[in-house]
Formats: sequence, C-alpha cells, structure tokens
Amino acid sequence: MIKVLIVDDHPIVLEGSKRLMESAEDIQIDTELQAVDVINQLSENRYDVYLLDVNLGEDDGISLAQTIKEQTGARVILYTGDDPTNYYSLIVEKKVDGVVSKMATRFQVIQTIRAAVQGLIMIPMDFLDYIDFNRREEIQLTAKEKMLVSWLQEGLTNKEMASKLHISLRTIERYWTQLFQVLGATSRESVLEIVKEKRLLE
Amino acid sequence: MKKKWLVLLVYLGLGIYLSIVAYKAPLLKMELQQRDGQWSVKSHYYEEWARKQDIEIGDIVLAIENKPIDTMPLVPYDQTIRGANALTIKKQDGTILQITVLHGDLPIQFYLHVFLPIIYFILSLGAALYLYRWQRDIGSVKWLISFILTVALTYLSSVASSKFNFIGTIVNSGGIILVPLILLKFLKSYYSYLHIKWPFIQYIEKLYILPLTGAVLGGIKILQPYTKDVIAIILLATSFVLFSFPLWVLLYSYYKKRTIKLRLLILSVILPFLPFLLLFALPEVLWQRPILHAEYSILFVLLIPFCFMFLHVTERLFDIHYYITRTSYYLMVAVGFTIWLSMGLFFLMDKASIWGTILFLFISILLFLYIKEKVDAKYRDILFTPKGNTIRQLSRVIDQMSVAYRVDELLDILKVEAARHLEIKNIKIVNYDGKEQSMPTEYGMTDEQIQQLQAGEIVKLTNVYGALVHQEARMKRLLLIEHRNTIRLKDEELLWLKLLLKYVESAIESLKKIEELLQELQSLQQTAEQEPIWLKKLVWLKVEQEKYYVAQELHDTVLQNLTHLTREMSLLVEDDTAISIQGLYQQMQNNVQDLRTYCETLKPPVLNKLGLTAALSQLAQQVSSKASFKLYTTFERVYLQHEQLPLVIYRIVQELLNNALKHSEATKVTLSLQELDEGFELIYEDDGIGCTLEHMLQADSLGIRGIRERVEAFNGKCRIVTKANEGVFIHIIIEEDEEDD
Repeated sequence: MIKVLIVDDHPIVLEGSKRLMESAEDIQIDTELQAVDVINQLSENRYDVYLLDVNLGEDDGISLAQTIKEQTGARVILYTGDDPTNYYSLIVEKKVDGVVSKMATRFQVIQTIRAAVQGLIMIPMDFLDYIDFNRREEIQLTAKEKMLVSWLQEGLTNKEMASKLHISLRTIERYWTQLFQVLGATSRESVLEIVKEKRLLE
Repeated sequence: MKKKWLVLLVYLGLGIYLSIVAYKAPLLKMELQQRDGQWSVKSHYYEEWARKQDIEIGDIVLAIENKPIDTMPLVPYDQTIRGANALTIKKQDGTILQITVLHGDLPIQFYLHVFLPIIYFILSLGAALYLYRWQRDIGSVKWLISFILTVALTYLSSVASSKFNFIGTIVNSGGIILVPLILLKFLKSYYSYLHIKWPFIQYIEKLYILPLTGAVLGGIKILQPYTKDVIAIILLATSFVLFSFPLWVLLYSYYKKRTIKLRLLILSVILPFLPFLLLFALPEVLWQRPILHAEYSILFVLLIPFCFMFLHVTERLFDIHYYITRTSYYLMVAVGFTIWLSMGLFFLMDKASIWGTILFLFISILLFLYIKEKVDAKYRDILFTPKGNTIRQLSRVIDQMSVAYRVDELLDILKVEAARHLEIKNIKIVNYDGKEQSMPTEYGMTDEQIQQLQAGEIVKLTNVYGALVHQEARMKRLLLIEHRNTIRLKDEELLWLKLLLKYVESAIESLKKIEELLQELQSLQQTAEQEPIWLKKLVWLKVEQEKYYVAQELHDTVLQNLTHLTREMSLLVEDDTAISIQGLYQQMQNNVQDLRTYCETLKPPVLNKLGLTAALSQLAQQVSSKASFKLYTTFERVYLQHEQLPLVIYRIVQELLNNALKHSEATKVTLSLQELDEGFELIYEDDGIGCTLEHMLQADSLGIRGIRERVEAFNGKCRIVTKANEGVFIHIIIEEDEEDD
C-alpha cells in the first residue's frame, strides 16, 4: 500500500485530485490544506509520497519540498497547475522526485507516484529539450561570488561584508541565498566544502 | 517775530557803533597828575610805545585830539588819557611834540581792545545764529543765545566804556549785571530740562530791574563824572554778587545731586574764572604783581558761553546721559597742558637759561604724564565706554543677533540694543500694512511718508525718528525712536543705527529663507511618508487600466471558450449523443493551457521561486522553441541591491524577446546579461529588419517605451542603435548607488 499525502490550498482541486487517484487500489490518500500542518506531522512520517502544489497560498511548495526531503526519506512530487517544464531544474538539482501537471491524466499521475516509490523518476519527453537547452558547463563563480566566498573563508560576518560593500544586512543575506542556490549549498560550511571540492576559487 | 528782529537790529546797530568807537581811537590809559595847574604824565601803560614816542614821565600834556586839556570835563575825575588819536605834549626842555597815536604802533592794544572784542562779537553772532537755526526747538537754547549775545556786547562795550563813551558805558554797566541774570535764567530752564529741582528764587524776572538801574547809573557816571568811583564800585559789587548766584546754584545742586552734567556745567563756569583768579587776582593780592594782566586773564571768562555752546553742540548738555569721549577728553587735556607750557615758556624765555627751560619742560612733562595717568585711571569707565567705540559696540550687537533664529527674537534684540546704545527708552517696532493697522497718530507719521521710506533710511519726523527695518509684500516693519524734540541723534549714532538696520534687514531675509526651506523640507517629509496625490491618482488609473486589459483579455478568450463549453455540456446533459465527450475534454485542455500561458505572462512563475537566472533561462527556452531565429544567451548571475531589479530585468528580456519573435524577422538573436561593479548591463542584438528609431519609440506595440521608462525609473541608461535592414542593438546599463535603505 502506498501512502500518499496531497497538499493543495484549494479544497475543490484537492477533492478532484483525491477522486482522480482513489481508483488505484494500491494507493491510500490523505489530504492537507496547509503547509504548516504538513510540517507539524513530519516527525511521524506516515507517508511514502508527498504530492505538493507549488502555490500554497502564502506558503511555497518548493521550500516545503526541501523541508520534507531534509527530514524524511519520503518522495516528493510537485503537482502543479503551471507549465511543468518550469520546474524541471528542480529535478536536476535533486530537490524533487518528479513534476506532474494537474492537466495530466489519471494514469500519468498514478504512474508517476508508483515510479517514485520504486526509486524511478517518470518524466515527459520534453525534459530532454530542457536538458539539451540548458546543457551546463562546469559551474564557474563570478567575480562577486569569488569575493564573497573568500570573505567567508576569512571568517567575516555578514555584517562586516555588508559594511564593506556599503549595502544593508538584508541585501547581503539575499546575496548568500542566491549563492547557496547556485552552489546547491545549505549552509556556510557546505559552501566552503563545495568550493573546495570543485576548486571554484582557482 | 517782528519784535525779535527789531531787537536784533538794535543789537547789531549797537555792536557796529561800539566797534567803531573801539577802533576810532586807540586806548592809551595814560595816567596823569596835576601839577601847577598843568597835567603831566604820571605813568605809562604802554611803556615801550611811550619810549618810542619819546614821552617821558613828567612831560606835560597840552591837548588831546587837538583840544586843550582844560576843556576836557572828565580829566579832573579820571586823571587818565583813555583813548586818543593825537596828543600834544610839551617836553621838559620846552619842545612841543605832536604825537599821532596809531593802532599800528600799539599792536597789543589793537589786538586786546579792538580786534578781539570785534572778532568775539562776530563769532558770538555766528554761534547765536547757528543755535537759533538748529536748536531753537529746545527751550533753554534761547537763553543760551541771549547769554552769548549779551556777553559779546558787554565785552565789546567795555572798550567804549573805557573811553568813557556815553552809550558804551550805559551798555557796559547794564551788561555786566544782565549777564549773570541771563546765566541764571538759562540754568533755570536747563534744570527743568534735566528735571532737577531749581533751588533758587523762582522769579528771576523781578531782578531785571537791576541791569536797568545799572544802565541808568552808567549814564549818570558819564554825565556826572564825580560819581564815577562810587558807581563803578556799586556796579562791580552787584555784578559780583549776581555772578555768585549761578555758581552757588550749581554747587548746591551738584552737592544735592551728583550728575556728570552738573559737574561739567560747573567746570565750564569755574575753569574760565581760574586764570583770572590764580594768575591775576591772587598774585595781585599777595605780591602786588600779577602774573597775567587782567586784560589777558579776563579773556578766559569769555570762554564761558562758548564752553556752554561747545557742550551743547556736541550734545553733551542735551543728552540724557553724558559720556566724555576720548577725543574730547584728549582735546581738553592737550589744551590744558599747552596753556601751562606756553605760559611757562613765555615767562622763562628771557629770564631763565636754556637749562632752566629744559628743567621746566622735563618736570612739566613728568607731571603731565603722572597726572594724566591718574585721571585716566579715574575716568577709565567713561573713557572706554562703548560710546567712544561705536564699531565695537556694533559688532557686539551683531554677535548677539547671530544667535537669534526667529525674526521676532532678532527684532527684540534690535529694540533693546538701540535703547541701550542711544539711551532712549521709547523705542518701538511697529508692523504696518497700510490697511487695517494704520499708523497710530501719536507718531505723526503719514501713510505717504511711510510709503516713501527706503530700507535703511532714517528720517526725523515731528515726534519720532522713523526707519524702515524690513519690507515684505504686504507689511512693513518700522523702527520708531521717540525724540520729543529733546533728543537729537548724533551722526555717529545715526551711522550706527543705519549699519545695524542693514544687518537686521539681511538677517531677516536670511531667516525668512531658512523658514521657507524648513517648511519645504517638512512638506517634503510629509510627502515622502505619504505619496503625493498625483501619484496616487496615476497609480489608480494605471491599475484600472490594467484591470480593463485583463478583463478584456479574459472575456475575449477564456470566457468565450467556457461559454461554448457550457452550452455543449448542456446538450450532453440533455442526452444529445451528437456531442463528443472526447472533443469537450480536448477543448477544456486547450482552454486551461491558454489561461495558464496568459497567467504566466502576467506573473512569471519561476522568478521568485528559482531566481532570475533560472527564470531567464526558462524564458529563453520557451522563446527558443517557438522562434524561427537562433537564440544565443549568456545570463551571468547578478547580485543586485534593489529587490525589484530582477523583475525589471525579466520584464525587459521578456519584452525584447517578444519583439524579436513578433517583429524582427531575424535569423540570429544574442542576449547577454553581465554584472558590473555596481549594477548590471544587458545587451540585445539581432540581425533582423530593424526600423527607424522614431518608429520604434512611437510604436506602442514594440514596448520600447516601456523598457525605457523602466530603465529610467532606476536611473539607468538605454542606448538603442537601429536602422532599416540593419538589425537592432540595444544596450542597457543600470548602476546602483550605495544603498540607502
């Protein structure tokens, strides 16, 4: 039995989604309207797969996905009304285990869930176009990024960096968020590790 | 009025007559004695002259002015030849001398008895006219004028009197009694001006009988020569007694009330008497030999009226408080010392040796320095009073004013300082607008006068000095200094006031500017906290416009499709089998797809969640999949201070790529985003058909205007290079200043 939690802030859509998948006998479905409620029960981790809407009202499905992946071993699939190609990068960055459009058929959704549980990622064919277009060269840091990283190595605090650049503390925090995203880092320590590992300062 | 001129005419006639008498015959004062029925010379007054003329003691005088001496009625009583142009003298050896007496041979006589009295008379007349012309509005001045004129006439008449001229004697006899009375009268009115109680008899007019009597006695003296000695003594005694009155009055009131003014008055009366007392009277009594002859020493007494006048003209007398200035102080000290030195040198010249003279000079200078130092120390406060140093005082006031930061404060300081410096209590600053607040009539200032007043100008009006402090569009600020005809501002005080007014005016101007700027700042602050109304309006209009576009778009697309779907579905509900469910499903899918695309253009879905670089890449991919051109992009990760800038960049890129899709007909489009030190640059280039810049800017559909507006809103630069068939090149730079949030 696959335990699935669908999170969507629109009750009607949620109801529709549930009905869509109920026909599958190997899937047991729960629903949740708010991200907060999901996070609160993460410690118990009663689900194998989380099906998350990207727009959760004030909350953001992508950061919820990140939290879930950090705290549990469950699979996370984005279930979006947007164009799913928008979120292909998240698959590449291993932040989610699949992206499914809400326009997708019952079969596609159920197959995606089943694949995810078995450690597979089911993707549409245009994913290859995405890969093709975004064929990444090796990551290279910009001058500003190198400067920030070297300051980090020197042990400067955010406040000191902000005053060096004559910008506000909030702005420097924003810069770091962006750099974390670029490097796929989650903390200052991991930034240093990644930089060292990939020899990004050389 | 006519009476006044009549008196002046009589006075002038008398003066001219007496001057002629004084000039007509030189004064000889040759004493005679009767011996054997003949008059012989007893002593000479002008010894040098007598020696030159070869007149010796004991020579017999036969005739005066070619008249035999026996026919002269006065000679037996007077035993003196007073004035004569010609003398006939019989020498002891029998020769008879015809002597012509000339002024040229008697220079000292001429100066003392002809030149000086006449000059003094003329000077006095001038002084009187001056006082009458400029100061007649002050009550006591007319008595000062009378005093000066009477002294002058009396002095002039003394020569004629010496020659036993009838009119001269009458005038002189009356004059010497009238002079102290007029002095008393002057003092009385001056006391009332100073608000000092008059300690003497109230009705001085009753004493006018005395000079009349004196004049009559003078007449009798000539007509009945034997009364000469008695009458002379009576007149002198009366005059002396009368002269002691003003002196007593002054000393008494000074004893009662010690004011600088009274002291000065006393000094100006007593000082001129001192040479007469110390150099003539005292040595005459002690050693029977005067240091200075009465004729000379009495000259100083003549200074009294001029002392008064000097005090008056310099406004020492009529100013409420008197401070001696350094200049006049030094003048007085120098005059005293010069007199002392001249006298000393005069006596030492022929008697003492050169060493004696040097010793005298040395001791004099030593004493002078010592005394001056003492006096300086004593009058330090007076000497170095601000009055003597207008500029210093002025700078002090300006210093004070520089602290004021409101107009009324500034005006208060002006008022207080003017009152202090000018020593006038009644100083006002009046606001005048010509309509509601008309001028209080008490100031005697007409509207017209006020209108004509220039800034910084000071005018003297009936009751006040008026000056325009500051003028605004509808209001004038006036400074009014009440003078009540008793106070006259000195030139230096007027200058002081003018300079101060000038400063105040410019200070008020500056303060006003500062006030305006402050207000502006405040209103700016307010608008900064809360947007200006026009902006709200604009934003509202824009929002409404966008709503309209959105509604129109939804209505034209989604709503039409949904309406169609609903109608199809209703047929299905009625079991119309002709309807294909599959078809409906397809339509629904398309419908959702359209709506989603539309939503994505309204709100870029990825930008906030995945960042600018990802959003741009995705946008590029979408465009690339639709486009007929090859798209090359380089999007560098940029770090921007402004949080809105990523959206701006995204929108610009969106607009540029849309244009490329719709209008460029290009085969190759390159787009690059680079980070700069502060900010970023975005470069777009295509090899399409291009167009003219004018067309590009005018065509609303191209959205170039929107791009420009966005760039300009962030202080950026947007350079567009395009020509028909030469593609389009667009270079955008936005540089961020140091953050201010």
